[in-house]
Amino acid sequence: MIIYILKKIVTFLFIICVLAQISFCLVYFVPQSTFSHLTFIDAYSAFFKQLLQGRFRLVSGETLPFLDTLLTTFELCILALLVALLVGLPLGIFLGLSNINWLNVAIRLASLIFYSCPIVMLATIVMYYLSSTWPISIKFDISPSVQGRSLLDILISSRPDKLTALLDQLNYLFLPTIILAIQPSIMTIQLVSENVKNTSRQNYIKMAIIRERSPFKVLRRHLLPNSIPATIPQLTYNTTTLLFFTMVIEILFNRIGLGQWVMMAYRNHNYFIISIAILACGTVISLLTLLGEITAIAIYPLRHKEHYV
Amino acid sequence: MSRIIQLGKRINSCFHRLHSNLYLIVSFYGILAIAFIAFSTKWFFHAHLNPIYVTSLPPAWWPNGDINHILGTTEQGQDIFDYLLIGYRSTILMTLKAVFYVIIIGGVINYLMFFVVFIRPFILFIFRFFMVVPPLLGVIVISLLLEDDITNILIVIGLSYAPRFIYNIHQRVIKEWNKTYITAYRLDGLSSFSILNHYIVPNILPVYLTEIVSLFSSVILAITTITFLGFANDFSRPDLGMMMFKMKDIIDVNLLAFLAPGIAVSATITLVYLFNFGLYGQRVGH
Repeated sequence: MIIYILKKIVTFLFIICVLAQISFCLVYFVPQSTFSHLTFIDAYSAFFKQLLQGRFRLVSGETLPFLDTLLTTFELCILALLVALLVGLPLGIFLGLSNINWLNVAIRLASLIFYSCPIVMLATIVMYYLSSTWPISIKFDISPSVQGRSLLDILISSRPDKLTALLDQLNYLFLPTIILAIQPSIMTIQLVSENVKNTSRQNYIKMAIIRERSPFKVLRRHLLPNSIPATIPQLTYNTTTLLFFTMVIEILFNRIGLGQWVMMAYRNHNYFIISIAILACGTVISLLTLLGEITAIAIYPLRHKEHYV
Repeated sequence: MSRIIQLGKRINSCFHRLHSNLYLIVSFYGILAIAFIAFSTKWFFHAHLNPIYVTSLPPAWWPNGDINHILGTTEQGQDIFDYLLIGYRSTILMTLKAVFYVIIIGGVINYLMFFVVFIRPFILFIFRFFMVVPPLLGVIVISLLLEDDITNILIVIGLSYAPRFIYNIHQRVIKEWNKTYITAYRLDGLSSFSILNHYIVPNILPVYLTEIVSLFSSVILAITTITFLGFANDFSRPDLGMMMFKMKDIIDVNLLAFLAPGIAVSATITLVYLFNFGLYGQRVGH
């Protein structure tokens, strides 16, 4: 297991290194680059120095908070996945065990309809009903209005009103997270219900039902430990789609993050920021995949024997 | 003559299978209906985008609505239902085009990966790089470097979703290849080519169709989202994302005009998933 985890970490680092090289090449050769007046070697060292500091300097003199932006987007993705697990696990277990046919069909149909709704439509409708300033915020070409700070920043800061700031930030994050969590939640419901249903048909579960007194004990001791861990790896497959929708949500809700960042760069034709964004997106997706793989292997060690590539 | 009879029997059995459960009945006729709507905008509905009608009409069932304009009209005097039909046709055609190319290219790469073993790690490694660029960023890069054109956008979306499609099919083929019955065929002396075509492909067909359905839904949602954000907007041939963006300005007075494109996308994906579910009972959202 340790070798498998190490192998995954090395692959992650290798991908980040390759992406950093690609990003540097793009940054060096594009117009509006701060490195274009330097020699290749100097530019290379300056680029990595700024990368390790977590912020880049633009031609205009502004600084680009690379790490903070990355963290804000990453946090939104993680929160969406947590909400998906919180909603998806109980509903999936219920769906897998329930014999109420009409309820099962209703939940499945509702899941399918939500799954097939364009996220932009849901976000716009929610903003229309809940926000008074929505027509201004949906123009895509204005600076972010919502001050997105990362929760981690607030947590490690030494300010006295930490709890209030944290709650405030969670308040801002509530709607984007809920909308973003819709698709992963539905995936979780489908996967968990299917696995629970398959496991509940096994003979050892039937045996446990005869021997154990309480059905909750059967659920807790036999059914869930044998069905849930196998679904965790499958939940980490669609990280690209998750980041895509996270970026879209950031644009629609006008939040600071990768989406708003690249959209502003596109409007201003800033190739420098776009080049950095490739590295940023690569880092977020690779990190999410790596975390998913490590969590999966920690919970379900047999996994790598099934899906080893 | 016997061939014609056999063909007739086969069509008959297909017809019976299509009517075997409620999911198949609803989804099959639903798909037929949307195909008819998508491909008959010109000759049946005579849909056009000329701004020749009374401006800003509400839906037909409102007090001052007009029955000739079911969903009302825009501020420029365009019929919203016609707009929806043209946008729907455009979206469906773009989606089918992207899905078709991904299936063809994916099939070729899957064949290559199956027969030429040493290129597998190389292709899987390349895929890792394609998968770390989300479609939105890819679209922005392509729009800046080349042209903000729908073909380029479709290529980017195809490239984003193809790796997962190819990888899942490849995993399934390899899993099937390691099964005992395939080993038995190999020991009988059958070639890998005939084993793949005659035994593996038919046995993984349900998974293959599920993957295609999943790809279809991902592509249609991605196209709608990207055109909503203002990329590849061709005003002579609007699509549903573009329509949704335009209709958000009249959401106060005509909510249905904004919801209609989203409902059309949602209905299409739902029907396609139901069809697949009815055929094989596979899970959705794979």
